[in-house]
Amino acid sequence: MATKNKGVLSYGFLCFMFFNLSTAQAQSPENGEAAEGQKRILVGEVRSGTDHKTIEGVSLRSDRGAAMTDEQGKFRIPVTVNAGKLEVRHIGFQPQSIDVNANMKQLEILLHPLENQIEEVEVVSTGYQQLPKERATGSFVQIDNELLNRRVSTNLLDRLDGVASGLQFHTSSAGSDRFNPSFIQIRGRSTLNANHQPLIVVDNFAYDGDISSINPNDVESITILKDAAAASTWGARSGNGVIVIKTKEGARGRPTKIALTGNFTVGAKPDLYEPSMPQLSPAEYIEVEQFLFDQGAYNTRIRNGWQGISPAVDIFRNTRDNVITSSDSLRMVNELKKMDARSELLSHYYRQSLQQQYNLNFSGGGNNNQFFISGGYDDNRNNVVNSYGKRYSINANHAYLFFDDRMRVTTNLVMTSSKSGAGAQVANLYPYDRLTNDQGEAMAITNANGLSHSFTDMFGDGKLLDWKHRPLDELKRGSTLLGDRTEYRLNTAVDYRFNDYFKASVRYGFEKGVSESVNYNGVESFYARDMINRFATIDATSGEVAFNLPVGGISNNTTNAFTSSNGRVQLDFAKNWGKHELNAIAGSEVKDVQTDRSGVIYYGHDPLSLANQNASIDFSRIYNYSYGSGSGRISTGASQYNSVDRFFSYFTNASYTFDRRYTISGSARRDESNLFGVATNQKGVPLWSAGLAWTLSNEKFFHVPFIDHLRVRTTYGYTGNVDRSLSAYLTANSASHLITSYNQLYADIVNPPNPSLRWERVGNLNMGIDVMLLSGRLSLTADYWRKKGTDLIGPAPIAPQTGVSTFTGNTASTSSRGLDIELTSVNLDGKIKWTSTVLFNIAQDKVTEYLLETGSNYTVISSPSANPLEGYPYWALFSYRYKGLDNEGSPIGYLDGQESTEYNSIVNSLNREDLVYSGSRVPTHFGSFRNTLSYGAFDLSFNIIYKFGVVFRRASLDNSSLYGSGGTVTPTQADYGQRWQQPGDELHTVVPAMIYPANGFRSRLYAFSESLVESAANIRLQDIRLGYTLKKIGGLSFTDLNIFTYVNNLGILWRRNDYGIDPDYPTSFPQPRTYAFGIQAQF
Amino acid sequence: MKTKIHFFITLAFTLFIVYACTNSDFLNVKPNSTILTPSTLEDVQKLLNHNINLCSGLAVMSSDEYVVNEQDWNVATAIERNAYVWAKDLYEGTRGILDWDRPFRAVFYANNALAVLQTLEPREAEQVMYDDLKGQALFKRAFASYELIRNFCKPYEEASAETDLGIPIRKEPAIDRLVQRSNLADSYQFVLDDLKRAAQLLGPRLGSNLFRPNDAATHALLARIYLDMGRYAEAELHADSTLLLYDRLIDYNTVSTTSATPFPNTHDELIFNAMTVGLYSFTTSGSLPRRYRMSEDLMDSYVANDLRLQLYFVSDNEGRYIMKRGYYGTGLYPFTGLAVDEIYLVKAECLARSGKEEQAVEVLLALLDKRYVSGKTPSANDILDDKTVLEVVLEERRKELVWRGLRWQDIKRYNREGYNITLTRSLGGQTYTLPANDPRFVFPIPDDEIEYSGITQNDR
Repeated sequence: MATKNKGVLSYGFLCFMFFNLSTAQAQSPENGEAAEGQKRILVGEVRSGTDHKTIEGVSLRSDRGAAMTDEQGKFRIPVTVNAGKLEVRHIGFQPQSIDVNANMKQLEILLHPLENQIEEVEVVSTGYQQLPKERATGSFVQIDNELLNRRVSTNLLDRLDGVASGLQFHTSSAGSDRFNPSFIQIRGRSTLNANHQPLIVVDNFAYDGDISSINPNDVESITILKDAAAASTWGARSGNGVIVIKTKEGARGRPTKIALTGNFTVGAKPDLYEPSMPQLSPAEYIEVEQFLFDQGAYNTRIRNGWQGISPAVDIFRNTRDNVITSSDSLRMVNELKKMDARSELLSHYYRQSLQQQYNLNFSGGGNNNQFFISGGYDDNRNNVVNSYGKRYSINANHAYLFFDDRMRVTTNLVMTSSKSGAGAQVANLYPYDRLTNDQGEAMAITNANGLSHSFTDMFGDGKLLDWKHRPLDELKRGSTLLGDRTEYRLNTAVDYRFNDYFKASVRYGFEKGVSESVNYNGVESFYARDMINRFATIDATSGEVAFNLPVGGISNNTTNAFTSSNGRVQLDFAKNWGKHELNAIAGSEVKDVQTDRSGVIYYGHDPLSLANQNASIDFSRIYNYSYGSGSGRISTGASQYNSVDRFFSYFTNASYTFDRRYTISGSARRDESNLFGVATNQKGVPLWSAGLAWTLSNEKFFHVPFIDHLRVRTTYGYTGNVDRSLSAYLTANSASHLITSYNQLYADIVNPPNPSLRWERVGNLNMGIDVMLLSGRLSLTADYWRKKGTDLIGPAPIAPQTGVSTFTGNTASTSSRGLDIELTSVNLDGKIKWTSTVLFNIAQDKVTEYLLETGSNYTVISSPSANPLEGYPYWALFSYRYKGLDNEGSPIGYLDGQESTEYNSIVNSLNREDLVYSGSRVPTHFGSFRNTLSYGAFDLSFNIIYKFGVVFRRASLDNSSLYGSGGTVTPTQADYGQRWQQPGDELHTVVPAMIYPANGFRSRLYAFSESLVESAANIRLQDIRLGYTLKKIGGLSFTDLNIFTYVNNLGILWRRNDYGIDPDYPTSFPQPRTYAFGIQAQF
Repeated sequence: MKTKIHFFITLAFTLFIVYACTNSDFLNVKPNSTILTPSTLEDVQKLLNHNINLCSGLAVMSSDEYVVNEQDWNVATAIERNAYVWAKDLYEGTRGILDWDRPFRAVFYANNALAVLQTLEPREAEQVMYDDLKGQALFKRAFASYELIRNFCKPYEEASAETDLGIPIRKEPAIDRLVQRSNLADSYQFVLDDLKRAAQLLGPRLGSNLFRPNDAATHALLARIYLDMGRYAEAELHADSTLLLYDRLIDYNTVSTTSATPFPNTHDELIFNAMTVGLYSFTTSGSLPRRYRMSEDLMDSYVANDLRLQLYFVSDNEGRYIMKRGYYGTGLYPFTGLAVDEIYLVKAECLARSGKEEQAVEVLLALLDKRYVSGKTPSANDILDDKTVLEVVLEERRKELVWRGLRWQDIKRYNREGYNITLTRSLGGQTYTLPANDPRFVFPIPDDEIEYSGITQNDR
């Protein structure tokens, strides 16, 4: 009921606005150039003198009034028919003063950039409107096309790393682990468990597809909205900031331009000997195995007969059983010690990467239309053999103008198709494993997870499939993972300008993406052979083999699809009169995103006929494996899932500027959604912002000769966030995998009813200053910000008698604050031009309220983000206090402040006093230093990125992971040589002695001790780009031809840790250096 | 022309807004397919299918069926250590005690099921299913509530039951309502009422799903509870009712003595499946390290021809016994559900107590006949020797129902009747004792419950 009332209200409001503007229309009959007494209206457009592009937001002032150019650079301004001056001003351009005369009809004004000034995009795009920066009160970062193209990458977002102030990239490794999170964030973290990624907007609508489907060559510019005034337009999804991507468009009345881009990038093989991925040498590895063998750790394995034992353990056993002599044994072990699996991996499994990128586009326009059409092709050959990615994209963007340019119809159609492939993985190798024999043939390996050779040689009497695992054969005929994603996006908009002040627009956006992945394991793959053999039944008496799983390929198919529809109606008002400028928008939008996932596994699959033999399988039966005591079902892999997210929102925002000195702005938005399922009138969250800006340099009293421009601004307001996992109703999960041991489906109550559930809100304060000095030689933007996340959704304890021990509601809070500074200086501006840009950011957050008292210190240390402590950052790193070793090589910790070796009690202690806060796992101080030099046709730029205020936990010798179950030795260990070995060693090492059996608590104390925490501070030379621009080759002329080379991941200039570890990749291979060569041409 | 365009744009605006506002279903769509807002009989069954039949492990850990050595005791968790030596402070600050939380979760699920059922109006064809679901919910609420009573309340004494503290009785699913402890008489009455209603609603054992209660299970549970209360006539009555509905025993001669998991998930003797929370290494069978050994006095009571020796236990290298697997399939944790053997023993005990000794021996021998190697079942004379029938029945009760969470309850019951059983443990030269009727026979209520609902703590 309440909705309907609201609906009628807003409808009334819009109609009211509409009728108002109709009357406004009727009352202002001035049209075109019709003169009226001494006054007439002058129309025209403003373009840039350098590239002829129209410029939006240029201020014009005559003695009769003021005006501003629109999106197409057009203006209409009242002037005195035959006299007076027209003042034209725009930041970054030389001001002009034009004498008005009677002959002037269609006036075209060319503005020339200020000397000594890098051209800046002066219009910020919020996705709802184009806002002249000088009127904006909020905090924006803009990345123009040139900066975006500086870096060569397939992925768009990668190009923002190190160039966007306040945008933080934390990419520790491809598959991030819980200690080294991987994400991007804007201004710290203001949520706990809800979405923490910025909202991405592409061409006016929130983007629901995969960011990798956007071809960076089709992107014109990116704007990052950071504070309340900037982001609150996006309402309940804007709490983490917004990244607005604007794609390229054509230009009216411009001859067709053709642009061609091509580049290729070569990347080195990963360095397997990196200190971040330490490995026991074969000799050390064998030493550990010998130690374990002597302790009897392999006896169970050896006795059961089928479990794989390593080649070294095989030698020890044969020696013990007197199958071989001790001198043979020594010789064979020495042979093994000479092997190095890593060198084999480097020659067979890794390769240099090669990425090729091509893009061709046509753009231009006639009198009443404009177009941009592009095609792109990316071909990536990755570091691992068989692993590749390809992307094809087509983008067509058209705009048509009707009725004297009053109506503008735009259509944008984008289609992207991506294909990827990955081959079998080579994992779990012993450090001395060989992939090839002396003849270069593929060798069978046996690993800890596999079966022993002696077992596979004999078992099944030849009636089973070959059961050997040969990694090199796997690379050729093994499992493959093929991905295929198609995405298309259609945007249409109709804009209609009623008069000089009012504009209405209707937009519709549709996106659909389907991604399919097929994990195909041919009958020759080890995966398929192993599974078929495992599920075979061998008759105990006759020895006959019955295959319960059909002999054939196993194809695991999953499909993911999403469909997103967005609609928006919007009214824009913009009017300048006298010293006043008023801009306002109001509108309403609706969004619907649906996703579908499904999966199925085909057994006995024939890739040619696509036939499968699933019908012959009894999926409900529990089969005893052909060996050992295990048993299991054959999984159907069948699954289906769908989700629907719907939003309905109203929004308005307005800004008023007086005399180009004072601006006030405000915005309000209300969102409703189906996510919470409460009565509709409780679904919404009102979000608002208010802002103020003062351009001091436009004040009459302001006379500081060396300051060109000085502006201060501040905003305050609320943005929001969504946790999609919650509902206000009693909800239960009844997914198909929830099956009791009696094969009955059950429902798991996820959420007890909580009718008061609300959206998360983030309060934002921003105070900024923009200064330009010395005729544009120096410009500075500095913003201080503070964010308070309130009503954050987090767990809170509740009396267990209710049946739930925790209850998830709006119970938590965070607070964060920081500083964003961007300083650009033109150092040299003669023949040699040299510009430097320094970015300096501080972002510190902490959890201020979290009601759930978490369990032991171990849970806090091992998953701090799931168990935040009040007063510490979300990504806090905690450790155990650590004293060192005693004279037996045992680690000494602290229990209730006292030295202790009661490892169980230390690890599970509840006393937080025993914890050490080691710092933030995400940099709190970061930024970059970018330099651009040019001389004649040459240009050179390089970027230095730095991170401070961040720590990481180094891996060391972990007694418990060193020997896994059944004596499996995990080779990735550091500090093996530094371990305590004899009394006295405790004076110079903190690495505990190896004991058998390992004590898990003792190992944890050391693995999570303060002595393994290192500062991750570092400064790195990220990249260098060298380009050469020419206008002509022989008879062929270009508008522009740029040939460039670009080197990425150059290396670390300085790091705080002494171990040579790249702290951004503490547990994985650092990004290999890449070399790119490319060409960008415009005809 | 212009007017027309104005008209169309106004119309577009209007339609859009009107559509979005009047189509209130737009925002009422379920956000994803895994969310189930229970609204059908099938949904209720899915709620009740959840394995909510979880019992406390504390009773097994505190009883005299096993021992641990000092070394293993030292590396155990606080609760394991404290439960073993009956320490006054059982939880030592540990929170989220599943022994208390899980039964309340079962009550919560059952109450939700009942609340959903209340909103449904079954068609005639659905009435049987509707009644059965209601019976299941009532049974599960009773089973869980009794589980709480027997662990966290004093043993039942008719004289003081009106003043002794019971459990918070929860009849509604709302989590915003907190309930104080009722008296013990009301707590028992709540459970008995639920079970008696359930007995009229539930049907016979169907299929293999033994998480789902049936008519025999209600009577079996009533028999167990009345026995515990010392109301032996009623216990015997419900034991009879149970056996009338379902009385199959397995002959242990047909069970593999070499299998690691001799009993399947569903076997003839099971009436209702439940187990303890899988938390404590002291009560985990099958997986390493096994930190406990069965008590020697218990093991000594089994004779060589007793098949239970080989089916229930395995011996380690040093000839000491540990539990093999639960009474239900591959389960690692003690079985705490209901089975026919327990009902035989309830019946035998009630008969013995009411002086019908011959009948008691007859019932007992019917059970033992399925437990001994064929033809080696001892005769009445053998087993009676110089003991009373009741003594023999109680001894067999201990041997048959070992590791089923019943022993602790039995000790409390025997002590109430004056048996004066004092438990002792020795660890590294120190001896711990728990005298009969000590307040430490009642487990304390977890700290978080006290903190958030303010209910009264037990004296300990």
